[in-house]
Amino acid sequence: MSESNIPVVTFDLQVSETTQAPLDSTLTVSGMAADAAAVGEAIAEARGALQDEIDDITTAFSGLAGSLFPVGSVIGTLSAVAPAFITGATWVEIMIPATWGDLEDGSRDYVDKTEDDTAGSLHFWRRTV
Amino acid sequence: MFYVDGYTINLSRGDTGAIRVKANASLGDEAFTFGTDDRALFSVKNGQGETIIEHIYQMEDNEFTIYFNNSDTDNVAAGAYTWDIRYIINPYYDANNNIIDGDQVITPKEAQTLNLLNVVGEV
Repeated sequence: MSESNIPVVTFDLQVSETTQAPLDSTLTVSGMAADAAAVGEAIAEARGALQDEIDDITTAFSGLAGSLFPVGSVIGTLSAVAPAFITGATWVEIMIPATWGDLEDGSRDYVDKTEDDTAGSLHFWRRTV
Repeated sequence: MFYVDGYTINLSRGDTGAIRVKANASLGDEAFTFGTDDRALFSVKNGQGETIIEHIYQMEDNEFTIYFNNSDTDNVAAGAYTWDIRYIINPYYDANNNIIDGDQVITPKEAQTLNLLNVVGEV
């Protein structure tokens, strides 16, 4: 094989704007439609519950700005205040908005803010893995 | 937690993440574009040479995205691993559709480090 036929290759890495794997990749999303109502109710309940836990959650996640947190990172808290949200869920992501706590500059705000930012905004995905 | 520092990937066990990889390729003085049959192989191995992650990607305009799924590292011990990307031009497949060779196999960069970070909660 002639070396003149071999391309020279280098590559660059770029962390994608969203670090969440898309739902249409290798993850199974069956069961999402049937659980939509339950997820909606659980989200409303979790939002109300988490408002009381903001200080604790901020302390737990300071210094991890912009990261996505698998539910394993907060499941102890959520399960205590919103058990309905956890029941049946196999994997959930929680994004913490930049307005909370001591997040570093440059943290990304992926969520839609409500008019009242003091309430915070939470964006939940529920996926069947 | 998921971030890339240079070519070092830092990932909390079980986390998801996506890294866009753009190849810059040239053949002589001309730009080179990988074809639709060509593949990129992303591999992660431990210190014993055992494969932890192996994903094969098709490229578009010399780009592809590495996706880390929860199942990739959820049951993998925290620690330092090595990774690399190999480009396979016109890959050959065995009977089980595994890539076994190609017209050309190109490894643009030596193995780099993937730090798998420990977590407290378990999913």
